[in-house]
Amino acid sequence: MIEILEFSGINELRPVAVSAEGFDPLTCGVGWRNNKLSAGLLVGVAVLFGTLEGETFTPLGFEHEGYTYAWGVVTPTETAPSAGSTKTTTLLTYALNPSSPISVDALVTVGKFSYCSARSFDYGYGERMVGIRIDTLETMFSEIYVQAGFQDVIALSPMRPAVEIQSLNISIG
Amino acid sequence: MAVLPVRGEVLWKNLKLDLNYNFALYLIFGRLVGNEFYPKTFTADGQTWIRATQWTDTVDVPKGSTQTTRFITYLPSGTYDVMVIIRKYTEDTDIVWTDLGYMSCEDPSKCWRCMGMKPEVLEKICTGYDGMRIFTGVRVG
Repeated sequence: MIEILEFSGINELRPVAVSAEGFDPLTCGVGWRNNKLSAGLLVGVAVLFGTLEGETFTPLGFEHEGYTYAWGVVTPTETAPSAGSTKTTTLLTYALNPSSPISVDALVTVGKFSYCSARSFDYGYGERMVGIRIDTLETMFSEIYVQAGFQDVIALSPMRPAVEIQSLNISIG
Repeated sequence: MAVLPVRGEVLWKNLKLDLNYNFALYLIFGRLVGNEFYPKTFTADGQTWIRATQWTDTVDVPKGSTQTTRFITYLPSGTYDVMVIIRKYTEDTDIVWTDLGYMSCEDPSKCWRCMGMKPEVLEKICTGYDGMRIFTGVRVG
């Protein structure tokens, strides 16, 4: 199911039992078509994860170092293909670690990115983005070209650790 | 307090890590009370250090296989609960005390037996680890 939403449809962050500690790499592919933008125009593409109910999207989020982040990723440096053409934008992020299985919806936005307002959290020491500060969500784009909600894009289960520590032995020497 | 040279190894199973992934093995020595882990500490250079050691290595087994990682440190004799953590290696967790002084990546001659860790480093490594387990009642000496 795909719905075109207004940006004002973003709700307050819903506090959920997800954590930024422990995650799996997650790749998002966003396919979009340029109807009338100038070819080569710099645009931002964002994916936020949360729950979509009717026309209201509620991001999932987490706390980190005193700030609240919406789980998601944005690239500010995508370029528009020629008018009438389609393009797939790939975004890398992390799947958060829920305390119980959840199904996650997504809100995808393509728009004019506002560099001064977005504040993101990159958990992996510069490798990929995992969250966008909640207080910058509504000003992250100065103009929205299109916005679409997608339901049940990913099912998450509590993460299995990357390694299983099996035994320890210790001796003098 | 007198300390003893200590060595050992940790056997762990690689579930998801890629070959050649740079990781650090940490052992933090303390006491587990309920669900709370209380690290033991000592003082050196006017600072409080957590009794801990680290060893860096790379993953050399495929997913599903086991690997052994060795470690060395100094400890007072006694019985410890030991928190073992494996996580991605980053230089910002290298703030440790060794028997040759502060660890320095630029000067390998100062990289020897780790025996202490700054408390703020422990906070950092306790987030985002790849695996963790606490062993209780580990006897030393």
